[in-house]
Amino acid sequence: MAQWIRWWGLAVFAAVIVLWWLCIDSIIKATIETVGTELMGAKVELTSARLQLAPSRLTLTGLQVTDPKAPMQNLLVADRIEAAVDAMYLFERKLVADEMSVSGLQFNTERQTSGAIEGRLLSETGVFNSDNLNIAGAIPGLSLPDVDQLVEQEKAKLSKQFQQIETDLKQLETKWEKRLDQLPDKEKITNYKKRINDVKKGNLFEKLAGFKSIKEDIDKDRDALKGLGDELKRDIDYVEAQIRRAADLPKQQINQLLADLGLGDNALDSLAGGVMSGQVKQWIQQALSFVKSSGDDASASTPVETVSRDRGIWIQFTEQQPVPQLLIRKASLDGRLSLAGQDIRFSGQAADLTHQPEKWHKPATITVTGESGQQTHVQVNALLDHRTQPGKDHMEFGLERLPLSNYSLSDKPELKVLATSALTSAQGSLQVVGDKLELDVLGQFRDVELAVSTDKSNALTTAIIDALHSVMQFDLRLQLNGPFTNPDITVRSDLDNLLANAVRQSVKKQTVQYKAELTDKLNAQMATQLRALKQRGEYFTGAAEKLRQKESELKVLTKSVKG
Amino acid sequence: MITLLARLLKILNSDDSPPQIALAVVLAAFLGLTPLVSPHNLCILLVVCVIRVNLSMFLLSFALFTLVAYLLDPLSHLLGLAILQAGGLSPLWNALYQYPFWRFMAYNNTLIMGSFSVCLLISAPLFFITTWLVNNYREHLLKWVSQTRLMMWLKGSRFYNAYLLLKN
Repeated sequence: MAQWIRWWGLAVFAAVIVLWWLCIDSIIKATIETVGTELMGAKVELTSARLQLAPSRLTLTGLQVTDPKAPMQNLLVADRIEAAVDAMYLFERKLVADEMSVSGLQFNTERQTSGAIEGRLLSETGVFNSDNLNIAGAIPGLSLPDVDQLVEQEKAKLSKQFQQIETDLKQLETKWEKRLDQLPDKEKITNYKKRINDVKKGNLFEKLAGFKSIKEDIDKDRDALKGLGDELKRDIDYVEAQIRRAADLPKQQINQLLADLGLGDNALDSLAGGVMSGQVKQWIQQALSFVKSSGDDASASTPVETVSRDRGIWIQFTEQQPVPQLLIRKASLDGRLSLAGQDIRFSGQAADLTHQPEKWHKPATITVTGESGQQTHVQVNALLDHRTQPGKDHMEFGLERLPLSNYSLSDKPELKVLATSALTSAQGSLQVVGDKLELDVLGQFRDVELAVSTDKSNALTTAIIDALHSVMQFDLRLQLNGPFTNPDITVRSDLDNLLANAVRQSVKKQTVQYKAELTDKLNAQMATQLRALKQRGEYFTGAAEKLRQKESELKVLTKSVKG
Repeated sequence: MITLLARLLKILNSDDSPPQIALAVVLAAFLGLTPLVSPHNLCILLVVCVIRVNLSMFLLSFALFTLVAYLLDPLSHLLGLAILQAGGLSPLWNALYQYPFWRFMAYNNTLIMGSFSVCLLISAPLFFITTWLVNNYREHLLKWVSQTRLMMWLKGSRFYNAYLLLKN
């Protein structure tokens, strides 16, 4: 037996285990960095990781998560994360932290080196992309597109519709050409006359029988002609309606265009929203991308596993007491948040955080409060419930006494609005169910001083600038409703009336001029096609005349038969 | 390549018993065919360290089985999937799933289950075939091989020097 045992082998095995244990911190660090980077699509870095056995505790320091859309910026940074982990769950390849503290949490900080990974950076375009924001569309008449360019664009659209109408009329014309060919021709009329003359030569009984037969034949032809006449009348009505529609198309198109350009009937209803829509949409974009990314994490379904060398697939069986693979039962948070140049220190609690919410019986909750040295107060309460689909997220937030200083509310060249100073408060709620969201925020701006300027000075911008100069305070209500990717946005303010009164006359005058110019040019461009359509319509008038002639010829024949 | 062949001949001509060489091949099959970073491989490593198996043969076979694993992995995955999804076995797998130890052993991974099952299936035949091959080589071929012209030529070559170097 002794020759089968190698006692020194035990020492070698023990040495391997000790070596592994000595390297475990580096292994954890490398694993977190590798997996995190893979998940984020940008660098995730750690200064150090430390695993302690008794009591089992994992400590991470210097966590930096790069923003995949901005490689020189960190999405979040945490100085220290300390988690009391349940060692038993580690054997099940689960990370369950009964308590966790995250300190020194910061968002959107600058990086010293790029966190990009070759070919992995994301770029998103969507409704909130700032390229899509067009303040000119919100302020009627502030910056209108070139008429000739618009006419050229619209001409192509209208030509297509004109062609459709023309094809339609052409088909009708072909149909009637065939019908008219089947009408009683000269030969048939001559034949009727010959038959009448022949019958006149017979005796009384032959005459009666012959005239009766001829009359029946002529009546049949007249009935057919009458049916055709009714059908032609209906077709002529249709043709006339189509031609009227074609003539009306440029006008309809112009009205639609003006509405799209903000020169419609409701143009002056939400001017304040229009002035600040650019900046407001950027705020929404930031907020939504944050909420969406956290929502995605929470509602992430089981990833589709692919088989790769050395990996295989993990088959899940039913657990008697299901526990997610990653669960943080309770976490305390503290950190700093930069909001409108204010350094806000915040702290809070989170509970039941997991990426597999369907395996846990409680929804995730987050409560955060923060304050700055200048009495600014922030509060956020959130409940993220993704235990069943569709997931439901509810968040209530409040912001008090946030001083704004030189804060841009609109930076478009047509109209630049800068809040040189203001004191802001806001309250709101956000509800996300599945991919639909409802946001309602009321912002109050007090002690406002606005600096308004423009690079394109005209009567309209001067009126807006004058009106905004006198503003001392205003409220702004922002509502979002609908799907995440493209919600309806409503921005209303008590500035609306003020601005509307200031610009009404100017906008009206400009609208009338613009519409007249557009109408003249578009009508001129479409005149030839419209003339061609009308000419085509004249064919049907000719066809009606032809039917009438045949009818009168047959009528004369009928009279001669009766006589 | 020459050094490898020399090493193999050295093992075959050594004083190690054929079962020790065969066991080394079997253990190498477990380590090479199953994913390396699997908990059960810790036990294999312990056995390799403590049981007096031929370490050179173990390392040589491990390299060979690792290459074979690249070809065998898709089949092992399918086999593991079939075993883990077999209706008759589901009560067993469900029962094991409730214990942290078995979860740690990663029995519910298709590749680990499949390749481990392959190893279990081939381990006994592999052991006996290797023992038989080593015995037969030593009884019948060792003398004949050393007297062949090829061997004589090899003895005068760089290959034989490498062999002697290893032997000493």
